[in-house]
Parts: sequence; structure tokens; C-alpha cells
Amino acid sequence: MDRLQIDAEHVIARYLAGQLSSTEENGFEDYVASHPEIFREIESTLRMKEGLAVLRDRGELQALLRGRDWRPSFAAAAAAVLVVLALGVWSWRHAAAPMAPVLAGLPGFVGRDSGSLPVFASYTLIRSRGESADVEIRLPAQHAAIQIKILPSVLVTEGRYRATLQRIEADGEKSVVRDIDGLQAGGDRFVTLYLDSAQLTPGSYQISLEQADSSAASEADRFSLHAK
Amino acid sequence: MQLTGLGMQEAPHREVLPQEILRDMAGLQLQLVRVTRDRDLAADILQDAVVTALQKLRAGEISDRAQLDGYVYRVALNHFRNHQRKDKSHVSDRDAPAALADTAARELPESLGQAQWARVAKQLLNEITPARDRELLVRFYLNEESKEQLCESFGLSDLHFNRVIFRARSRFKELLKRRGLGRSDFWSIAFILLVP
Repeated sequence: MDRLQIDAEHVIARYLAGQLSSTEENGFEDYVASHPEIFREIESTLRMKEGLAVLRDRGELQALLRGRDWRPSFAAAAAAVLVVLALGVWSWRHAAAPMAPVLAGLPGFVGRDSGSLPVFASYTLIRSRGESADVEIRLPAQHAAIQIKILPSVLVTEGRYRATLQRIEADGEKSVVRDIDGLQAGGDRFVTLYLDSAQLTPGSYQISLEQADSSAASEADRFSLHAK
Repeated sequence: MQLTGLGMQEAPHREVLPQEILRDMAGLQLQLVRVTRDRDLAADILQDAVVTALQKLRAGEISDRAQLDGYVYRVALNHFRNHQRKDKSHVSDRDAPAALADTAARELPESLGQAQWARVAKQLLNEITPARDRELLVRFYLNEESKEQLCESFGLSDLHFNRVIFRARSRFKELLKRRGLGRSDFWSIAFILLVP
């Protein structure tokens, strides 16, 4: 008998269980007599038997035998890696367009952080002297946000602004798409808000910005937009 | 139960303490206690083996430490197997050994070594899937059912059986090594020898 046979045929466990034939037993005992290092293997097997016996004595064994079989398989791990890669690629592709905070479900006009959409385009609106032309807003093919940055004529550091988006029909009639209070100018003095592209259709719009708490009839900043 | 009067000061080798010899056979000791269901008897068997081995060392029949350990282990192992055979000849149904072991276990406090090996065995079982392979392991090592019985019962090939057992055995050794249980074995032995 040699070590290879002892390992391959589980000779130690079978010897301890009295399952060897007399020939096998003699062969193993001869090996043991000349290879005392095999006792480490025997001892290891006895410790496993003892460990299992203790679990049985404690009444824990049955629960361990019935225990869950879930273990992350190679396929699951590979799938997880693919998902992570896909998310990485998606994030990278959208990195050029920063995620816009968009209040989901609001019709068209938003200004607060909630939810998120990729920012399709950003427009800066500054009032100027003289006749102002319509600002062309290109609507995205996919659902996205359009960032609008407005520089208020009157900077109110502590106060709030109200923005109103109105759709202008062909006959000149206006309908409010959305208005929102409580907007503040940022550190760059601009008031930033977002339009939800899903709520916009091609056509003319007007966006206005005014002080929310102004009792005086201050003039609002108005800009004409043309969505296409 | 003290190993005295051996005249070890006359021995040609440095004095070998019984604890040193017993240190690496904690598993055998505890299995011996389990099979004899008598701690004193198990201690006597080991003590006899150690005394005989030390006498052989003095007489020059054993030349080195490895042989000494091997001799003690072999003698104790023979006793273990003799008691096991005797034990099995008295039981006729499959569940009886477990019931007897349970009775023995209730009578004995759990040692530190046992607790550690149980922890490793638990980790091993938690790592093995599916449940069938866990049951295979337990029935082979603990219930001592034969390979042929188990392969037939589970409808397994030799190859599958060998793979499960080989992996489990290797993993258990790895976990034992990783937890460095050898260092604490002394205390489990001391516990067994000292607790009345």
C-alpha cells in the first residue's frame, strides 16, 4: 500500500470505521509502522469525526444538513460582472451629459432635486436690450432633461423666484404648462431649472422669472422659446 | 493518573513529557473517550501507551521522537479500534451508535478542542453544496456507512463520491491549519486530563 492508494481510496476513514479487508488492513498497518507521519492524516480525520459528532451532540447537525444551497456560482458571478460592466458603460456614456435632478411626473417644468434624467442640452438665458429672438430648443429623441439657466435682472440673494412656463398656441393664446415657486439663484447668480422633454412638444413657449415674494409689480424676465 | 516513576532522568534523551506526546493526538483521545464512553478508561489506555513508549525509549528500542509518537499513536489507535469493534458488535440497528454517542456526550463537558473542531466542521458543512454532498460527508465520516452503500443510496458514481470526500477532507485540513488549532490542542488535552 502506498500514499496514493491511501488518499484515493479513503483508506484512513475506512480503517477507522473498520471497513478495510484484512489484506487492506495489514497493508495499511505496515505502511503506518514505517511512515509515522501518516498519523497527522489520521489525527485530522479523527478531528473531523469529532467535530461532526459535537455538532450532532449539540443538535445542530440536522439544521446544517438542511441548510440553504445557495452559493454564487461561476455563472452568477459572470452575470454580476456583466451587469456591473453594462452599468459602467451606461454611466460612462452618459457622463458627458451630467444627470439632471428632475422631479419625476411633473408636467414639463421642474426646479427641484428629485429623481434624475440625463441632461440633453443646456441653455443660458440672459435678458438684453432691444428685440430678442426666440431661443431654439432642440427636443431630444429620448426622454431627457433640458437645463435652463436664467440670469435674473434683479438679484435677490435671500429671496425666492417664481418661474412660469407657458405654451403659446398659433392664435397667440397662452396656457400655463407649469409654474414653480421657491427657486433660488446659485453662487453663479443664475437660477437653474430643468424642463422634462417628455412634457414638451414642438411649438412656441414663453418662460418667465420673477421675484416670488415681491409685492411690487416688478417686471419679470421673459424669454421666448421655440421647441423643435 | 500521574505519569511518575519512569526514571526519565536516566534516559539518554532529554526528558519527554506525556503532554508533549499527547499534544498531537487530541482527536484520537476524544474519539477514544467517545467510543469507550468512559473518560477514565480512555485516559488509562493513553497512559499505558505513553508509559510503554517511554520505557521503550529508555531501553533504546525506540530511537527518536517521531517513532515515540508513532508508537503511542499506534497503540492508542489499536485500543480505539478494538473498543469500536466491541461497541459495534453490541448494536444491531443503524441509529443506535448515534444514540449511544449522544448519551456519552451528555455526560462529558465539551472541551476547547472539540468546540474548535466543531466550528471548523460547521464552516465546512456551510461551504458544501448541494445538501446531498453534506449528507454524504456526514454519513461517511460520522455514521461510518460504506462507500458502496452511499453510492447506491445516492445513485453516485465512484468518481463523484471520491471528489466530494477528497475536497471535504482537504478543505477541513486547510481550515484547521488556517485557524492554527495545533497551538491550542495542549489545552484541550490538559482539560481532559485534569477535569475529574
